[in-house]
Amino acid sequence: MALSEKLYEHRKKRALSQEQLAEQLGVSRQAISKWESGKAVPETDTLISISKYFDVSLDYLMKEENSISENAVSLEVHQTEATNKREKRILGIATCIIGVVLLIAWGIVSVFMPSASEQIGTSSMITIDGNGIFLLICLVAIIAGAVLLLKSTSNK
Amino acid sequence: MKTISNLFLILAVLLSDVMCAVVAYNYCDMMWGIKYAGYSAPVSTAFLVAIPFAIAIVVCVVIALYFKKRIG
Repeated sequence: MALSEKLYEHRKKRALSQEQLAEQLGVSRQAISKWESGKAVPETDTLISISKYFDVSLDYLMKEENSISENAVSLEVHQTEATNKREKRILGIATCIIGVVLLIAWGIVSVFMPSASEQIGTSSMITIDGNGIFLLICLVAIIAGAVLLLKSTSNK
Repeated sequence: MKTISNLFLILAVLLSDVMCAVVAYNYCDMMWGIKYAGYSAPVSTAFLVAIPFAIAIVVCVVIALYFKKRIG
């Protein structure tokens, strides 16, 4: 919307005639008519008075809303956000599944191949048993994946 | 959404199966150890192995229910 249209709209909203508005702003009726028809543009100090009178910002008065380009930018931003969310969701699912599969694999190994489980147990160089560290890694992967997944799908 | 919900439900079931197998195996192992190898820990120690599985099952069920709720 152009400045002329905004002026006309705000004047009509307040149910003012061109004469009344001209009187309030300290300009002539012809000046108002020219501004509203787009034949002339008010000067800076008059623009400030207009913005104060209608209680709007100078930015709003001066900026012509270019809806097409703004929509294109917002659409692009929206698409990028959607892609990011999708990537996060996939990463969350993958992490969670890897954790669960490793946990299942550890369970199967510990039942069917106890010697392998013992090897894992003695592989640790710190005081925690190797099996314990493995289970901890699985749990961290599952929980991290779940948090990522739930965060990427929650609506804000 | 439905696929994710079903996938995590299946994973929860699989985890519970493996948990039962692992706990049963450890329980038997502990019983044998106490009887013949002089293990000092009680048999109930075998249930400690169920903790990580239980946490994983809870997480899977929460995710499955969350996605199920989002569908409905």
